Amino acid sequence: MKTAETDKELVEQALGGRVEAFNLLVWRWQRQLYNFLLRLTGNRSVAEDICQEAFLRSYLNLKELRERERFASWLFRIAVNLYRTDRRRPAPLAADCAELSDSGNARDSAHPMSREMQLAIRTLISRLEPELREVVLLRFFHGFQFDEMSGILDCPVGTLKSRLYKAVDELRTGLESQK
Amino acid sequence: MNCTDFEKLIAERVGEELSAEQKAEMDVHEKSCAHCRLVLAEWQKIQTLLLASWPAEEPRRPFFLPNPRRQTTWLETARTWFGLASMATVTGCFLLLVVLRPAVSYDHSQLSINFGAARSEGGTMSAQAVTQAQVQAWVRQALEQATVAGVAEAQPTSGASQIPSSTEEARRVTQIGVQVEMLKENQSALWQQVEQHGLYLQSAWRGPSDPSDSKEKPTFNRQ
Repeated sequence: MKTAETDKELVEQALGGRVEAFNLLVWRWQRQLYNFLLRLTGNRSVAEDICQEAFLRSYLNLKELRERERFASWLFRIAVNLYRTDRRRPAPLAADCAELSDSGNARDSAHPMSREMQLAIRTLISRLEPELREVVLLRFFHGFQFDEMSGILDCPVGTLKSRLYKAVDELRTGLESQK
Repeated sequence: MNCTDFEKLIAERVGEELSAEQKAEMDVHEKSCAHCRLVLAEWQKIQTLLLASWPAEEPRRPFFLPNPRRQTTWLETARTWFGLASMATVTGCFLLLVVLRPAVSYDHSQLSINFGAARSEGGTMSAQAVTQAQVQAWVRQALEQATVAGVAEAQPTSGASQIPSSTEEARRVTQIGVQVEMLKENQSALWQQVEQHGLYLQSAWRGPSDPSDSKEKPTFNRQ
């Protein structure tokens, strides 16, 4: 049975002219990247636009990727840079979070949580400062390690750790106030 | 490991980013410290709540990449075909010019266009430039004819049977003198025309190969 090709192999194939290899990379990472941007921006349209632009730029600049096994980190870094420079991004509001709670996955039985609780936690996340929100999302939702996050956010690991501790403190305080 | 060291590594612990040795040390401390156990539990609870509050969803639309072998639009196709058609037209016109060799002539206030292929069928016409010597020969011939005709007109009855009177003879001599002067003027005017026609004919690349062709000779315009 043939094992799935690694990101590095797919990147090398794409650089060799095989467009389908890059399409596989898109297929592999589009869900992660889209949801990261959705949680970051709180807006589906903006998330889709940035996601599409990030894939396009990564395709056009693929030859600039030196560490080919780190395609995902590189892709997320492109997306974060686009997000930071995107002036259209609206301030994440509770209304956006309410809209997001309509998704079918949110009522998944595997996550028995009331809609009110979901909305409250999403509101807490959206009220974090962007730098803290980026760290929380990358760490807790997408499982990136600190050295990867350092590359994505262009920030030292120590700074990222302090941001994470600060974000967890704010979330803990917010959750306690919900009770 | 003390509590401070434990809390410094909580983020790595939750993210499963610890070495086996570090994890073992934390496990030992966790069992012996209720406070650190509580802190770790809070981190894990927050992570669980976060994940449960915002499950991933599928993108509403797939993300496509530009296909390098994209289809050309109808506008690009039309532009390509229009360019090719223009090139073909220009090339065709050039070939027609080369093959047919059209000659434009302007004679007696009449503009005419002849094609080299059509004229060459008779074998008498060519696209060679007429030489000035040929034109001068035609004009000289025409002048001689005109002079002969003028003299003949002035002396219609050679060897007159009647003896003209002195008055009538004087009148005739005067008329001849006037005619001779007119002929001289005509000759000078004709030479001017000859030069002009010669230049034009040279530029138009036309002229008979046979100088005897009366149609191509410059006519003597008697005033």
